[in-house]
Formats: sequence, structure tokens, C-alpha cells
Amino acid sequence: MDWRRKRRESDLERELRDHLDLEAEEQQAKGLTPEVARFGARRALGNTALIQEDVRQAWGWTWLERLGQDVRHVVRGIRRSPGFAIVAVLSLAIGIGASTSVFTVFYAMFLRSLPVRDPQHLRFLNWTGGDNVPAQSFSGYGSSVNGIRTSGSFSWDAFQAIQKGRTGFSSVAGFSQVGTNVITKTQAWQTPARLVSANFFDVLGTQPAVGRAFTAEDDSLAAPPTVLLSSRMAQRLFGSERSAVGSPVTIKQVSYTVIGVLPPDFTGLRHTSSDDVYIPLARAHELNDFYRFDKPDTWWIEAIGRVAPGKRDSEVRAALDVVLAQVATAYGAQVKKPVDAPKAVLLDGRTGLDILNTGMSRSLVALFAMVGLMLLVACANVANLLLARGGARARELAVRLSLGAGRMRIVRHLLTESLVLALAGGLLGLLLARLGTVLLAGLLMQADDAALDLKPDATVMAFAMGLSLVTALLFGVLPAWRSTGVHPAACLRQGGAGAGSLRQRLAKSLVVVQIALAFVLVFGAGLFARTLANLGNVALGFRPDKLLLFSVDPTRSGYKEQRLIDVCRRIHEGVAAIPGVRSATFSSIPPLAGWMSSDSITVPGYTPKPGERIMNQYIVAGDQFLTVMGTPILLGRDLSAADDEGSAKVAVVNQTLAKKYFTGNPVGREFVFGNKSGKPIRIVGVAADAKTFTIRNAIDPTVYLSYAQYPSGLGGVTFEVRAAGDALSLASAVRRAVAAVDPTLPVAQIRTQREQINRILNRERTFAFLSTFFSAITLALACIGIYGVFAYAVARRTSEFGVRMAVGATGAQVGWLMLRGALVLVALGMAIGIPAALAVATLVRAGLFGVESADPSTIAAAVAAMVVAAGVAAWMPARRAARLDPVVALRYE
Amino acid sequence: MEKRIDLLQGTLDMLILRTLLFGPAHGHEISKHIQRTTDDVLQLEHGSLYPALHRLERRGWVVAKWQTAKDRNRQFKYYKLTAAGRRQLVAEGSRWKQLARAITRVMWPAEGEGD
Repeated sequence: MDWRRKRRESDLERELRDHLDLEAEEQQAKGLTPEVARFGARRALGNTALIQEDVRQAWGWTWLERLGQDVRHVVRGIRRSPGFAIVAVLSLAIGIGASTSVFTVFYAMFLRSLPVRDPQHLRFLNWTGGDNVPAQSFSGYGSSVNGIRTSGSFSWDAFQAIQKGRTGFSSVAGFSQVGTNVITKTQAWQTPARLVSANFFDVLGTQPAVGRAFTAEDDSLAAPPTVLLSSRMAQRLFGSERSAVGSPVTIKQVSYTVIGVLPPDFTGLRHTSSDDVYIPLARAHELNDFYRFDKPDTWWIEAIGRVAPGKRDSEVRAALDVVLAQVATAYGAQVKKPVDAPKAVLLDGRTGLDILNTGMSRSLVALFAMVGLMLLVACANVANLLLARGGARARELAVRLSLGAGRMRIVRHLLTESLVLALAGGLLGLLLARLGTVLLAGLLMQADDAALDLKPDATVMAFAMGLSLVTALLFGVLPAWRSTGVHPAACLRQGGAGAGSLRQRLAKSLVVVQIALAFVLVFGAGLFARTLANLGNVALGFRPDKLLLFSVDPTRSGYKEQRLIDVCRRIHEGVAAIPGVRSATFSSIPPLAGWMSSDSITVPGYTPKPGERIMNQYIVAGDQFLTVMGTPILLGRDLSAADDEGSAKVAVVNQTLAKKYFTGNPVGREFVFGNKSGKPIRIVGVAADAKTFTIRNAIDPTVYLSYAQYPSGLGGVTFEVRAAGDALSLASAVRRAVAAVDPTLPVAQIRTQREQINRILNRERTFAFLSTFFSAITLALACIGIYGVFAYAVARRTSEFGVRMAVGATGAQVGWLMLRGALVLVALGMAIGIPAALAVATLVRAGLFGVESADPSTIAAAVAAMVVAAGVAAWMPARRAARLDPVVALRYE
Repeated sequence: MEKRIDLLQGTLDMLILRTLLFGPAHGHEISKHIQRTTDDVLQLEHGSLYPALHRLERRGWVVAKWQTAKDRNRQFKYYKLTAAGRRQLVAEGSRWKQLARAITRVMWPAEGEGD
């Protein structure tokens, strides 16, 4: 841009010279002497400098040129003090990069539309109602708060009524979920499958990339069984999408034909997990006994609808309420009982079902708050650097102001500087975010989850750039206004130190804010770290070391009753015989997997309090379960191989259950499990309490039942293998042992017990790690701020210190003066930071474990961390002040 | 000096465009042409010519190019009318004519009617 303007200037000069030459020639031709002619020509043309100025005005300055000029100026300034720019850009890049990382992951999980046609018209159907709603049992997601139940599943009757009724939906599809073992000639995978009505893909607005979707004919038990696969599953099973179509797979002893494969970017109804197998809804009961088409009190079909054009959600809801009321009335007439009709609730379906994962979205919002604080501290840092620079440049600005530059022009120039810094920080931040998103997603997601789409698309770019602009305003406006608010004459007279004390006060306030914000983060990190440590120190009641876990689910392959008992027994024997295996057992629930089964028990002699539900956890287990797990048997004995199909039904209970329902020794006493008319079960042992559900929750009363006596309690079975050495090294031997029993039985989730525990502590670990990481960076940024302010103060007060030392102050006294100043700022920062931190901590109280949100020792530790960090940051300038040579100091300036 | 009239604001642009209708010309030629054709009634300030030319160039009504003059071995900056400039000339000419007619009608009602 520069050369263009230069060339224009030289062109103009030449043009005017030409004019003068021609005019002079003409005058000379009239007979004048060359000198007079030249003079005349000049007079006729007028003041060339003025003309040039007028012409320049005619060219005008475009805003782009002006911006270019400012940017050039800024870049020149930055090149003069690269240290300042590097610190500023790096602090911003870290803040913006971290914020963008969290945003990108949040966006990928919760804001991105499903890759389908017009996703904004999709709605998930839910209902809400009391205990008298005919849904006696339901599957799918659901919640119950104060007797008001909310669920997303419907009975077959209700679903059909909705599908066929006039509801304002242009179409409604049904779906459910079922666990499957998908078996090909060479492979076997344990995977969840979607049961879907024939129109599911039509309603959703997507089509298979290869092959075809289901037709109405496919959705029938009479039709040849068909299945659709996700692109990833097709590749896993058959190597490619094309070769998958037409191939057979076996699911629960039935041969299905793959008729289509979905597009690679379509992961189903969620971004975070992948639906890999789709089966017609008609096969639901065949795959899971619970799914009944003939029981109006079993609600298991979830529904998704496409709102007809022009219909409002309120109209659809009202129409659905009418339909649901009709269904409830019909059911009430059938069972001759008064029933309540549920009310319809519509959930926005644009982004899919991930919106139900409120735990994850809350975690991300909390992370976002952390990185936001970090970014604020970074902004305060840059603002401080700019203030200090404004001090150093006061003279230059004063000269420019007195030469007639408008204040706005200079403010704009300074803001351009902020923008350049912010955008540089933003661009570098985007690069950092590429790394950050991968790390963050890696921390939050599990191995078999869908790969999130973390590409920085236009929205992410816009976020990062918008954030840069906001930060530029945050840190730029105050210093810019401050720097130009000086009186030029006064400033020039005082040699640039004029506005120093006010600037110093501003800088100190910024540091106080930084300390307060950093304290909030450091305190939070302390709470999360202690939570994780406390969870790690909880007595589990069993030995998690050298324990390998793996899961098989024979019921998904059609095993039941005696065959199920036999296959478990044979796998158990096979695994126990592997060299390097000390002992092995199995259970219906993996220990510490975050889920449990419960059922009621009836204990003779125990009268429940009114309203008390005697629900207890139960675990169906193999023989010697407690012994293998390392849970002590306090009374009686463990389950044994002798407790088989033919012998009397027995159970081991845990100590909590024994204490709650029995006085004295419960061994030999009896209770009835589940259905009241069931046969009594005799207690043969009392085991010590052990954590089985989560580490956080208190231990429930627990019943351990023998698998051979309760095969109906076995679904997926987790084997626990105690190794003599390294547990994971047994993995392939374990696979071979299972294959020896049934080669088509997929082995899933081979992991150690420690890995399993880490998995349920994933959120706590992520928070402890990230909050520590973020607070360390924030603390470092705040220290840079403290250092900057005091380094500047030492430079400014050098001659004063010289005087002090000359009249007898020691170096130590001068150094202490500085250090004391820093400690005063820390104290002020704490005065704001501690109440703020305590207020913020109450918001995360639910996530803490074993530590109060106002834990005094954590406060003390955080205060100590702040004091030490601030002391170190102020120490360097203070030491410089202490080592001043009074003679040199007095001559300073 | 009395017979010289100051140029009305804006009319200079029109005169320059009109001059360029005969073909490309450099600044000196333009000023000479205007002076000559108005019998020196319009005394063109040479100084005001160049800002006007650059203004017209910026608006895209003329384009400039360094070219060798026909009569001598020297390059001058020649200005040439563009299509947009031609349209602008027509518009400005008709506006000027309207203005002149209106003023005439006020000043000399009888003469104006016959026009």
C-alpha cells in the first residue's frame, strides 16, 4: 500500500512540472525571457504545495488505508518491544485457546445439528404424569421427582395412537434400544442396537449411503430379517460399506441380511455415541422379553416426530394430550381402575438426544467458567502491560497530541494495537485449541464413543474471533483512554512521568482483580483435588489390585435358563484353568461400574415404616465371589459350587442389610426375595460391606444370590479374574478360554478393576486435572501482573530509594517496602477473592466428596499458595530495589 | 479583469468532461482549451484543475495514462473519458440546461417564453 501512494505522489509532482514547463514554453513563445516565462507560469498555476494538498484530499484516505497505516504503525511498535508483545499474545492465546477448546467440545456435543434434513422440525416426545399413569414399568430414560414422573417411552398402544392420530406431526417414528451380539463368519461384537419403525430414517431425514432403508414390509415378523449398519460397524465387520450390503449377520440365533449402510457422518440420535445397528421394531420382543406389543402397561417405545409446516408446538402438545387421554381411558376401562392421562412434553430434536446428558453439559459449563476466569486474568495482564507501555510512551503521545492529532485518532490507534494483539492471540489460540479440543474430548469421552466432529468450522472460528474482539475491548479501552487523557504540556514538562501515580493505582487495582480471580480458581482446584484424593482413599471393601474384568452376554446370543447356567459355569472353569490365574468368579454387575439392580425383599418379623420401600441391591454371582473379590466373610460362609440348581436357595447378605433387618446373627434366617409369593431364601453368610455401585454412594443393603439358582438375574455377565502377575497380560488367554466354550460369544470391555474405577471417577479426575492446570496458568499470569507492576514501580521510584538509602535506610528496608506493597495487594485480592470463591464453591457442592465447600484447610492452603506465588513474583523487583547503589540511584533520570 | 467570471461550483467538472469528449488530453491542454473556447471569459485557475482531475479519476469518470505526446518526444499524463464519465456529462449537461433555462425565465420572462 505504501509504494502505491509513493508512486501517486511522484506522478502528481511530474504532472505539475509538465504543466509548468508547457506554460513556460507558451509564454516564451510570446516573446518573454525564459526566467520571466517560468515565473509567469508559476504564478498562473499558484501554490504547488497547496495544489498537492488539495489533490491528496481528492484522493482521500480509505478506511482500509487508514487501518493499514495504523496496523503498520502497531507492527513497527511491536517490533521495537517484542518481549511485551510475546507476553501479551501468549497470555491471550492460552486464554482464548482454552475457551475455544471448551466451546468446540460443547458445540460438538450440544449445539451441532444432526446431519439430517431440516433438523429444526424434529421433536422427541416425552410425557409427564403421576403414579396413576398407566406406565407401570418403563424403559428408556426417565426420572421421578416428587411423584411426578417424566419419561420418553410409550406403550405400543399409545405409540400407534400417536402415529395414526391427528397430532400436528407430519410423521412420527418409534425407536427403542436393545443389547445384541452381532456375529459374522469371522467376528462377534457386543453392541447396542436401535429398534426402529420402518419410517425412522424418513422421519429423521437421512438415507443410507449404500443400499436401502427399511420399508413397511421389512417391519414385520413374517418378513425376512433385515438390518442396517452404521458406516463404522460395516467397516469393522466387512471391511467396507459396499461389501456389507447383502451380507448376513446373526443376532440371537436369527440370520439377518444387511440391506444398507448409513452415511459416515451419521452417528444416530447422539453425537457422543454411535448407533451402529438398526433392526425393525417388529423384532423387539424376540430380542428382549420386556418389550411387549400386547401389554398396555409396559412402556418402552420412544418416539420422534417431524412437526408439520406451520404447526406450533403448543398445538401439537394439545393434540397429543387428547390422544394420550383416549389411550388412558381405554386402558382404565380394560383394567377397571381409575387412571390418569399423561401430559405430552416436546423436546427439541435438532441436536439429538445428547441434550439429556445434563451432567456432561453442566461439567462443560463449569469448565467454561474456569477458562473464562483464566481469560479475564489474561486480559487484566495485557491491560496492565498496555498501561505500563502507555507510561513509557506518554511522551510520544503527548507530542502527537500537541501536534494536533485528535484524541479519537490516537485512541483508535491504540485500540488498533489491542486488536492486533488480540487477533494474533486469537489465531494462536485457535491453533492451541486444535490440540486442546483433542485433549479435552479424550478426557471426557470413553473408548467406544462416537468420534466427535471437532473440526473448527465457521461457528468455532467466529467464536474465537469474537472472543478476541471482546478481549481487545476488555483490555484495550481503559489503557487507551487513560493514555490519551493526559495534558500534553504538563506531560512534556514532567518528562513523561506525569500521570504515573494514577496509572500505578489503576495497575494495582487490576492486579488485585487478578489475585481475586486466581484465588477463586486455586481454591476450586483445591476442592476438586481433595475430592479426587478422598474418593481414592475410600475403603472399597474388596481388593481391586491384579483384578481383570471382562464381560460376555450369553442371553444376547439366545442362552437362557439351564444353558445359560452351563455356559457361565464352563467359561468360569476355562478361565480359572488359565496359567497365571489365581482365582476367578463372575457376577451380574461389574463392581463399581456406576449401575446396580435392585428389588424388594420381605423379611419375616420386620415391619416396614409407612411408605418405606424395601428396595435392596442384589448381585447374582458365581461361587466364591466374595472370597475372590477379597471381601471378608464375617459370619457363615461364601456362595459355593454346591449352591446349584438342585439345592436349597441360599444367599449371602452384607453387613448393612444384616444390621438393618435382623438383630443378632442372621445366618440361618430366611427372607423372601422379589415377589412376595416366592420361596424363602436362607441366609448362609454375612459379608463385610463393599462398594459395588459407586464410590460416592453409601453402601446399600445388598443380597448376593447364586447364579445357578437365579439365572433370570443374569444378563450381561462380568467375570472377575484375580491374576498372579500383571492382570492385563491375561487378556488374550481369556479370549481364547471364552472362544473354547462358544466361538461366537463376543468378549467385551476387557479392563482391569483399576481402569474400571478410573472410568467411574472420570469426571472427578478430569475436573481435578483441568482445574489444577487452569489455576496454575492463572496464577502464573497473575504473578506476571504482580511482577510487572512492581518492576515498574522500582524503576519509577529509583531516585526516591536513592534518597532513602542516602539518609540511612538499608537495602533490606527498601526491599521490604516493595514486598510489603505486594502483600497488601494480595491481602486486598483475598478480601474479594475469598467471599467470591466461597460463593462459587457452593455451586459445585454436589460434585465434591469428603470436603465442605467452605473447607477451612483448603482456604488456608489456597491463601498460602497465593502469598508464596505473589511473594516470589514481587521478590525479584524488591531485590533489585534492595541492591540499588544510592549514588547511582540518585543520578538516575 | 472585469469581464472574467468565476466558475460556479461544480461546473468545472462538467467543462473538463466536455473537453475530453474530443479525445484524451493532458492537464495543460484541457486548461488551454477551456480558456480558448470561452474567449478567456472563464479564467480557469490552473491550481483548481488538478484536484478536479484527480477527483474525476477517483470517481471513475476519467482514466489517466502516461503517454508520449504526438508533437514531441515526451510523456504526459493523458486523461480519457470513460463510459461512466460520458453518462455523467449527459446528466450534468441536462441539469445545467434546466438550471440555465429556469434562471433565464426568471430574469427575462419575455425572451424566455420564445425559447
